[in-house]
Amino acid sequence: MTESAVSRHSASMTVAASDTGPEPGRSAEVPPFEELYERHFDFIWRSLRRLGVRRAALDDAVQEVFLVVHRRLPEFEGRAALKTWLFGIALHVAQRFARTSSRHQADELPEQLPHDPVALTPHDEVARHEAIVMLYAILDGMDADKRAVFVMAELEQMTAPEIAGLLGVPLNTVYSRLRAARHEFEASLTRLRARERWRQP
Amino acid sequence: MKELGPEARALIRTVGDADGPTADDRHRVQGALFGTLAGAAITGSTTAALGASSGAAMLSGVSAKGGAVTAQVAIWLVAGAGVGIAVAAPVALYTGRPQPAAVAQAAHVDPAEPPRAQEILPRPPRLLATTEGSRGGQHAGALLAEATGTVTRRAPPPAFTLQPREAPVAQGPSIGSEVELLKRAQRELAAGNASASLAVLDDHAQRFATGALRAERLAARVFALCELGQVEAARAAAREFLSVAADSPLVPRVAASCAGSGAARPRR
Repeated sequence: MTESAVSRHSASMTVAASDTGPEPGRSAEVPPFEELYERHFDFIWRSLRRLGVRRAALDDAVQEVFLVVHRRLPEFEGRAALKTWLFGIALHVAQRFARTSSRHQADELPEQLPHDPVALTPHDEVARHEAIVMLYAILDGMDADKRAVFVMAELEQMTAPEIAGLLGVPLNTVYSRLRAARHEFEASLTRLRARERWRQP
Repeated sequence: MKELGPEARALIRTVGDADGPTADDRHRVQGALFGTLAGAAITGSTTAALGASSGAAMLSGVSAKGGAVTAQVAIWLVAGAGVGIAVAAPVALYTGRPQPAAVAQAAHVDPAEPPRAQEILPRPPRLLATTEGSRGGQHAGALLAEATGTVTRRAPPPAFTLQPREAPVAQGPSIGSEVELLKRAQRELAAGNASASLAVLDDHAQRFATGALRAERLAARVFALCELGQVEAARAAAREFLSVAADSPLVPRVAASCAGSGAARPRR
């Protein structure tokens, strides 16, 4: 999908300026671009990663998302959550990047984890890093459709109607993809855990 | 529908938001995004639209890594109604020979709106024949160095004044102020007030000496000094620009200015 197509799709969605959701019949004030960028940068970065954009392409993908956001912000209608609107843009950028690049590789994971203001013990750090490696290994095994639904439902806590709206698919399709994705996630996790145990002395 | 099991939930909980960007990621992308935003404003020096409204310009296709420009560069002017303006590629920007196909492709901000790059962009002397901006940029940097007597070397990435994650609130407004100042400088230059433009740039230098848009400020200073006919001062400014931003997408533009015109010759 070209950027213009991404923009058109995103603009066609009805969205709201609130992070937490719209108030019926009322649009919240849209924050200035700089503030929006600051507040949602991490979310966009993370979402693109989770949706399958390779780490090497992340910088460009993030820029592209904010390019669209910057251009479309004045058209923001305020009838759904701002975060959902942003995720919709990220989703389409991610799909475009995924078509032009290969999938994530485990060795692409960050060597340096984000700084956490709450100090973690070395053990916690290792556990968290291992969890990230495992999560991405499982996500990378999914096809793009299931992955997107799983990320939206289980990682971003979106509702099925929201997901259906963003993907432009019937609600039942969301449910069936989510069911299949959960099943696949569980099976992969079991397999990876078993492999882990086998490797341990 | 069957929910995720406890082990899967625990895994997701453990990850939390920890797969987000590092402070380095944040600074790198932010610097590149807002830098190109301001850089585009400087590049489109003949258009008043660049300074209009709250609009900003971005270079699409500019890699965030090291500021290298890929073959396809689009300048998006998001002024007011979100007008899109495109430049096909550096070759179109610097040689004045736009490539129609590429222009058409890059200009599709709104398919109903025809590309207007030729109406808006300046036509500086032919300089580069390559469509690969990053290579062209390095070459232009070498040409400029030759003209100004500097040794081209890879400069460290521009220093950012941005605060680490602990104080994120300060980043947006700071960048916003930097962008606003550079846009003002650009407006003055576009209006033919090079001296006023320099004054604004001095203000930026005082307030954001090592700001995220330092390279863009230095490049703008070169253009303003050229406009005033102060070639030697422009060359000195160009040397300073190169010392901190040898990889900037603005290098070819600086090389094509009076500061590098002695060495700016077309190559094929």
